Amino acid sequence: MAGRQIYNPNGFHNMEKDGTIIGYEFQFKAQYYRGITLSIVRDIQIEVDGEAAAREDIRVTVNGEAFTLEEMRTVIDPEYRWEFGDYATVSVKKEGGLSKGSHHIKALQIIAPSYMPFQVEAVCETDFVME
Amino acid sequence: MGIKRGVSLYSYQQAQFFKQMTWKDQIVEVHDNLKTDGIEIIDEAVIRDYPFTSEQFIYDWNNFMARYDMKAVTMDIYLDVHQFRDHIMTHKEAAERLKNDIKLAAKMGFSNVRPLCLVPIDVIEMALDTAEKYNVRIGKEIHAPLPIKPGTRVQPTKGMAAALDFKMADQIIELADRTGSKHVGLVPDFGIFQHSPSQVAIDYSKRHAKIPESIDFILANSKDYELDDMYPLLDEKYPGHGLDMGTIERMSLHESSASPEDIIDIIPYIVSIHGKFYNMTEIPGQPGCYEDKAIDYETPMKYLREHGFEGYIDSEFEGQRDQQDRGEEYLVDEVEQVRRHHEMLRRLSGEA
Repeated sequence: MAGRQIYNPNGFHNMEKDGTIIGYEFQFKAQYYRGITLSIVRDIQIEVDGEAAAREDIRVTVNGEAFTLEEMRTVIDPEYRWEFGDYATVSVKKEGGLSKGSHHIKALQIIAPSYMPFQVEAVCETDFVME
Repeated sequence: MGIKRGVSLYSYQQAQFFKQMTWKDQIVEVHDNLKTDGIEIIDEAVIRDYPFTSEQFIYDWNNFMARYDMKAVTMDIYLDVHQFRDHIMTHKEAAERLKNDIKLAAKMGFSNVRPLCLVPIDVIEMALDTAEKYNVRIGKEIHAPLPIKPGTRVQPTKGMAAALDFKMADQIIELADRTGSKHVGLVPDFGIFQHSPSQVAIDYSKRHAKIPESIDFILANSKDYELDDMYPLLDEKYPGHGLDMGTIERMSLHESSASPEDIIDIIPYIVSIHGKFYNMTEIPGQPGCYEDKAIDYETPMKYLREHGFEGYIDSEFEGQRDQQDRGEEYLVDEVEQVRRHHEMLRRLSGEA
């Protein structure tokens, strides 16, 4: 279901380490109506300008702690919930990051909440400018 | 006495999501503008660090509710059974979670918790002692597409309707009667009296359909086909239509899942009611009076009034979700929608 704008328009940045750009990051909210126990997140898939990120290159940071998607499978701690309406920071390893200028991101959030006989998938797209 | 009015803060989810209103702002709106005291919450949308929130949060909540003399009616709870990734939560584990939710609700002053209609009856029974001890009633939700009484209704074999047990309300009544407990009952949702798709849902579906005519076809023909037969029919008439099962189910709605008169017999078991609605519009020729054209409120509320229901109906606005796929200028004003809903509740409950 196409829904609310979830991206932080000011959240798109390249990540730098020791003078080298090692990837990019952005912030988005969960496309759901309540906070999420991280372990029910089944997958987050990311494409920028049509190029898919490898699953193992993705990290999700909630409350200052970064998790791989595999690590998130076991996170049921109350202090590391993706609270309703709050941004999580997603970082993606990519040599050289993203070029300056306009880009398009398409992300898929897949969760398995309590009562659904199927998983809930939310596609979230937006255009953004890397400065 | 009579029917009481409240609001599920779920109604203001968009305002909360975009950080335009906090739960405190929402409570003030209910107090100042709706002139009533009933508050319902979604646990995981309001409570920080659920399920082990801080004493500080509990104090802040109780203090704020006391300041405005509000009444914590029902806390909606979920049981994410898929959260332990090495196994699905067992019934005993689910009962432990339910007991913890009951204790949390009691700490926040809530009279009731609302588990979902899919929670197995033995899980409810295992938590009943805790509900008695903390004086919190467990109200299981009767949510569309469930009936109150199945009657001759045929349960579909696909989609959401297939996952639910049409005899759910009977199971709860049997448990309450067998144990003599006043701490288990039902939370009917007015969505069970929805008889046609809401205009906002139709508009949404058409905006996203590859073949918008396929939506018109469902609307025109749904009453002549069982839901199970609609899927192959659409494939045949509109190859490549791309409609998902949920959309077809929503657009096929042509009669309410429950009969309004069935609510009379369950009144003694109702712990509170969800006033589900999607789109309040002005009634032609009656300025300042509003209705939801897709949901029958008038008949069930007449029965509730005549048969002495004195509990809360808590507004549950859900129409915002069908209007969030376009620009900001198309977002609906949740505050105004809930105000209109309360005009209707006041009028139909005979409130002076």
